[in-house]
Amino acid sequence: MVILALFPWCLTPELYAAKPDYIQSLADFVRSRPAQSVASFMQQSNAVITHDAESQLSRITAPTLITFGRHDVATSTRFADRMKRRIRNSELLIFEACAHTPIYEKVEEFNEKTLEFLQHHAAAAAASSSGSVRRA
Amino acid sequence: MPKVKANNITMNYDQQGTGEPLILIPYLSADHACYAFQVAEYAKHFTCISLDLRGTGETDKPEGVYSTELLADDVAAFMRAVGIPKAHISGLSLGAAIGMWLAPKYPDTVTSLSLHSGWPKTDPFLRAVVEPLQVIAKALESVPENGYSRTLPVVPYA
Repeated sequence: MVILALFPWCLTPELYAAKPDYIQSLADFVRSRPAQSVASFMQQSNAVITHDAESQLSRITAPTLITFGRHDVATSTRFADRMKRRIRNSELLIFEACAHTPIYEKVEEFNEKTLEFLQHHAAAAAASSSGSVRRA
Repeated sequence: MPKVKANNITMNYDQQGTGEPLILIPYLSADHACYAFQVAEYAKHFTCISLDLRGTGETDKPEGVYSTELLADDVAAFMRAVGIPKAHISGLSLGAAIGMWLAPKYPDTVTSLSLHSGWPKTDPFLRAVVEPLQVIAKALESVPENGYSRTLPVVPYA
């Protein structure tokens, strides 16, 4: 029931129309994972409701990739400018034709673009460690 | 699946691939497997460590108030416990919210930060998205005679 209530926040109407089997498989996948108790759900969702890291953004120094789905409603691009502006070393990427979960909606594109960022900063990290290639 | 004691709880995690460490923080209610589609690619280049947050999967579920700052403390303690001094940090939604605390609070532990579908502070609209889910969850909890119980899966997806 809750899962049915939540999926529309995460996926676009277009995806529902185009790939009903895929959406069913996502629902099956989520159901196949260890169940969360109602008590734990309340605790975690309260952490969502009380989340306030506004004062922390300007303290972030790590290179940061900020992404949103163009059609996300829950966490829409209304937050994008604020985050981009306050996190000094940040870049912003918008996934078109996506809502809240580009990780499932545009898997290939999401992986490719986020890997590009990660690899760029992996190489930068290695280069800055006294000239020697560092592998963790 | 390996487990480790961190911040007074036992945390469950999964590790795949080789390369620099990349820690993947799940979204609300999800366990480490939620990033399966990403790990399939990321693991070709990075050591992917996806964990179960406090209250999810096979990690402990202690009582008390959870906050995104506390969950970030858990991730930092987890890194110390498994011997990862510094890593790329990535999270979606709740995972991103946690990253916003982890990076400033433990700056020396973060190589890069990926914030997907995140938000800096819950606003009235986001609250209006989440609160009805809590109403549904509570309603399920209140009807054990119909076969529901506190352990009924709610498997939300946010």
